[in-house]
Amino acid sequence: MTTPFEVPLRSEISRIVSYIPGTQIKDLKEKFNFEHVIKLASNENPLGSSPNVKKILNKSFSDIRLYPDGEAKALRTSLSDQLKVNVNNIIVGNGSNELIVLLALMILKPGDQVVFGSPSFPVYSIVSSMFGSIAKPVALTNYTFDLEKLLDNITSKTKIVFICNPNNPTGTIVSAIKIEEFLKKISSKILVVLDEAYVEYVQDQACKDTIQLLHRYSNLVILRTFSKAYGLAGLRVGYGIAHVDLISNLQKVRQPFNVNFLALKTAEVALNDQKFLKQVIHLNTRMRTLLTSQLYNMGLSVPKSESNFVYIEIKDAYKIYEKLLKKGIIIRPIQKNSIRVTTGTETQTMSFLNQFKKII
Amino acid sequence: MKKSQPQLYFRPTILEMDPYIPGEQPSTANVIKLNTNENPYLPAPLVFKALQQYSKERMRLYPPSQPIKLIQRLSRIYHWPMDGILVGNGSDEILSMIFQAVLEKGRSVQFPNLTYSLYPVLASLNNAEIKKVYLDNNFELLFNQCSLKSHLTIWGNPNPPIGNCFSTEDMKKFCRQTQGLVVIDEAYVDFSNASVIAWARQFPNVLILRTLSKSFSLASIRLGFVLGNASVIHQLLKVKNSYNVSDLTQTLGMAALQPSSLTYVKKTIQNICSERVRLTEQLRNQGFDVPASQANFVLAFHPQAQLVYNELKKNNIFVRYFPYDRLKNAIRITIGSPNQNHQLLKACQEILKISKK
Ligand SMILES: Cc1ncc(COP(=O)(O)O)c(C=O)c1O
Ligand SMILES: Cc1ncc(COP(=O)(O)O)c(C=O)c1O
Repeated sequence: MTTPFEVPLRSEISRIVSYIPGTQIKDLKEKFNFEHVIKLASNENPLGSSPNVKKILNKSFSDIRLYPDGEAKALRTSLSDQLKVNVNNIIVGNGSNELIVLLALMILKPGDQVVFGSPSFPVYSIVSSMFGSIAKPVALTNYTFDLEKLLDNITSKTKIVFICNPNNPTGTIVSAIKIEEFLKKISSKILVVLDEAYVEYVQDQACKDTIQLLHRYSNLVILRTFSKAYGLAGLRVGYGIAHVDLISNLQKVRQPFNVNFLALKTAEVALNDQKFLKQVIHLNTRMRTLLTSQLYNMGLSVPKSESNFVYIEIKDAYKIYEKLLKKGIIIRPIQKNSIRVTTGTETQTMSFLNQFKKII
Repeated sequence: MKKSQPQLYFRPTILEMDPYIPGEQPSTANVIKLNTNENPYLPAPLVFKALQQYSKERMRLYPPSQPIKLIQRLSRIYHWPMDGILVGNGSDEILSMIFQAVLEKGRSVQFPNLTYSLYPVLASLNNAEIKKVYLDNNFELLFNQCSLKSHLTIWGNPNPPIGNCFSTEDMKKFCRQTQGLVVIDEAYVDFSNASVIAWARQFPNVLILRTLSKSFSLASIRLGFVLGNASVIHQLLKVKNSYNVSDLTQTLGMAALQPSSLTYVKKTIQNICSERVRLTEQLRNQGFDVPASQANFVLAFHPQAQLVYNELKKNNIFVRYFPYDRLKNAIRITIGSPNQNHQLLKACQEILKISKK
């Protein structure tokens, strides 16, 4: 294969900076020969998923040869019952990640502008460059999405605004009231994507009830996922809720069988076990309080998290990350002066705190 | 909900495009489903074992972004360098990545006028100009009518919905001469002896697309892959979603690619191929015109095709009918198990007998 490849790809492609996933447990086990590794890096759920999930998998073998239901009718019906919105307002994706990409694909052209807070979920900026659009990151205020400032940055070129609520990586939230004020002020031609990947963990009631906004704002889409509180990151299912016209167009651009059958089945079972979800949320709230208070005692300030992770501003973030790796603990360095730590089980959370104390 | 005006923000292409229409997925239990080219046999026993043994611990974690183990395994089986392999959420996802990475407004893609119906959908999604190249009376692609300048050319080997393979010589000559990227979609190639994988080594602009949905009986888990030149794969990786292939899919895929599973699959393929011979012959005896197929389906022409399709459905037998001009007298039948094929043939015979009266 000595002939060079000369087919011209779209010019945007060369400008995309790929997403860098966190370190995997396996990598670390192999590198240092650890038996146990604690991964608090990717906001995964330490309790995993409902016990009913495994049962449904064992029953599913005979249908594996068939294509999944491309319309995901059963899961969308369950979601519809629970969220009290019509089935036609719901779309299911191969993770909410896929839905972010599809929304961008559906709307963005070269030269368009995409506005979001920073730091936030890196995929917003990646999808902007994927379609030749200009990413406009707007600095957070007090670690929180500053919707006023976002508004100031909106121009006639702005096509999409991403609001991550709670925000990854800071864990902070803005209230539904503030979001509504924002929606009132911006043009209904601009799509507002409210990414609620961590919404199940939110305690503050004022931020949880955003679905009612959909009745008044046709340019709003809410994204959620089964990867976090439902403990199914490995299976890849997320969903979006929006106006039927937006959903039906999204349905056109997704692949005909975008979500695998085992993911659809397990998500449905997980959704129907709200008792298990309560346990997950309960543990998370306890561990989040534990982390926050202990870090505070170490003299570190941690923004108030409504999520399943905390954000710590600290010098030499990458060195701390490396040192923790050597102890078999994976966390996520965000910038050179900040790290993000996911809540674990009590034992995992304590192990992290103990090692972290020694290191700093 | 409030009245929306989608035209305000959607790209015109999206508003105007026709969506892909998948075959029906009937929900009743007792149907004979021969409409979406699925495999009548269960996946290999090792896949079942892997499903039973799959640990819940794995489910809560994100999958490896690059399924290295699978890529290693594929590399071994196909004697292909690891950096020349990309794995996707079904080969559909890989198609979508390729179209997205190559096409845009002002560029063109060409494919046979009869082929996999997702290609035109993906082309319009990416604003590309579509050039349909006509199949002749023997369903051969007229390569002399293919442009050598098209940014992307794609066809099936075998090509659906007929199931024939185009002339090797013509295909190869085109790969050598074109300046664009060529994707040879080998979704059904395991049911033939016609694979042209070697060309992707010879020509850096050729990609070979494969899936585990058909010959491996794994349509539900969504697993496909593409073999090509590392420099092309490197570019495609940039448009890949970070966690595109489910961890369970990766695990079951590994089980399906173990040596004993490959032996099992080979046997099921043999069964399907001998059923294809029988089905083709008997359908011809019933008056259908059936072009020779090298895939796990046959396209059967009959003046009463649409009637047959509707009547079969009443008998709970699902085959595929395409509303295109050239196929209005045809049904596409997936090769089923011997018993399913028997029931299909019996039903067809009844339907045609009654309609003659
Ligand atoms: C804010 C946010 N949105 C979306 C996602 C993607 O989640 P998934 O694709 O697993 O649904 C993540 C994952 O980390 C996230 O943090
Ligand atoms: C020619 C062709 N390519 C690709 C596919 C998609 O296969 P997968 O299940 O891998 O997405 C199909 C499915 O019908 C097909 O017919």
